[in-house]
Amino acid sequence: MNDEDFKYVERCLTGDVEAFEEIIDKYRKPVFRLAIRMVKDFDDAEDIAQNVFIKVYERLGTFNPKYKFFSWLYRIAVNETINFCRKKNLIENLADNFESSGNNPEEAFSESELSEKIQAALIRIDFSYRLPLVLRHFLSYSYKEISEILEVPEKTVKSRLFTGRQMLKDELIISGVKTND
Amino acid sequence: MIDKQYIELMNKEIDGLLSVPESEELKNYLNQNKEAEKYFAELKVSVELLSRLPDEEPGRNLKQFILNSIDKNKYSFNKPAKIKIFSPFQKFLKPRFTFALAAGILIGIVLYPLLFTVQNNKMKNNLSGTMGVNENITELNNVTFNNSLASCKIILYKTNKEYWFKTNLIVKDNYTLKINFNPLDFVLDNVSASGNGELKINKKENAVTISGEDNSIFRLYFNRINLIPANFRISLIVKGQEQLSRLINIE
Repeated sequence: MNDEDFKYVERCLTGDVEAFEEIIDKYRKPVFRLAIRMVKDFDDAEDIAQNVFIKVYERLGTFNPKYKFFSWLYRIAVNETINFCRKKNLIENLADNFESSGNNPEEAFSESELSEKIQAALIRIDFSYRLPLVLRHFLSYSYKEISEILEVPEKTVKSRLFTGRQMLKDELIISGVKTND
Repeated sequence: MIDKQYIELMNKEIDGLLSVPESEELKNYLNQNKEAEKYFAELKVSVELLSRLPDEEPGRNLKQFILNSIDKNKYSFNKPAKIKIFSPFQKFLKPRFTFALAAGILIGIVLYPLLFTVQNNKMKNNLSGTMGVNENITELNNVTFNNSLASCKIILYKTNKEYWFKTNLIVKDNYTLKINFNPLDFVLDNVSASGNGELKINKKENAVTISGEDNSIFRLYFNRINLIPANFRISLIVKGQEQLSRLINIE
């Protein structure tokens, strides 16, 4: 376990709230980025991030130092995101909110339109394939780290990642984003 | 048709995990298979496009919201016990300490009038120091409301740094009290509540919502960010119907 994280946790467990502030400072951006890539909406992503840290704090006493703190924290973040999406019925219906447009591959997009289309394509990918994509490409985690966070074998991570990339490619083509530069 | 084995190599290449022989193998395969070459090019561009998404930053108040939402005393019972001064040499030190303290008091009683007089004379024309000042608490505004469903009194106070609402609610049904504010003007600092039944408090960057079922008293503390005129909106909903909606302006 990362020594720094371990020290923060130890300090929190002796009632030192400032140590928890250090944890928030260190992880709030990656947790928020994970959430926003999964749900797209800024306020929803902030709600998820807030709930993640509240749960982390509540459960600090159950953290097992044998494991990596960030894996434990991201597992909570992933579960919180899944629960949030279930509550808002986002897992099944999210794709419906983003209609594909502009099937012409020659269509030129402005930077913000392009970002919108990439994010929409990402959101249309099935949840279980989107998560490894987000963890790998936005948070730069290795296969092994992703397998610890998602609690699945490394082989499964690879397989989902490869399928997720294939899905992303197909979605981008459907959206009319050029992928053959 | 693209061989599954080469799809794996393509993905490893994207992840930068390909060995030199594997890289050669993939290169040869792509040279011979145009379909695979096109597929790999599209796959690489798709992944590269993800990096075009802008880095999103959480709101600047997120940390404060989290800190406001946690029970800061949850782990305080684990605080290490304070070291007792006398514990190792208690029997040895304690009588001496008691004696020294008693002697000190006696000397103090004897010397005090003498020192006080001398000091007083010296400082007669040379006074300086700091006086404690009570922070000025001002009642700014109050909102009262009464009907068959609810009786409500909300008083807004201010000190130099803070604003707070003290709210007394007498409601015999489900209610929701919502306070909307501009997060550029105020930050919700804390909510303290007591009442009958369970209170649900939902804090957002620009609003706080309190829901309950029965009589409640609570206080909401806000810190003001700037000194330009600002306002709050207070809304009370009982049994699903809005009973009160009031805008409070603060100069």
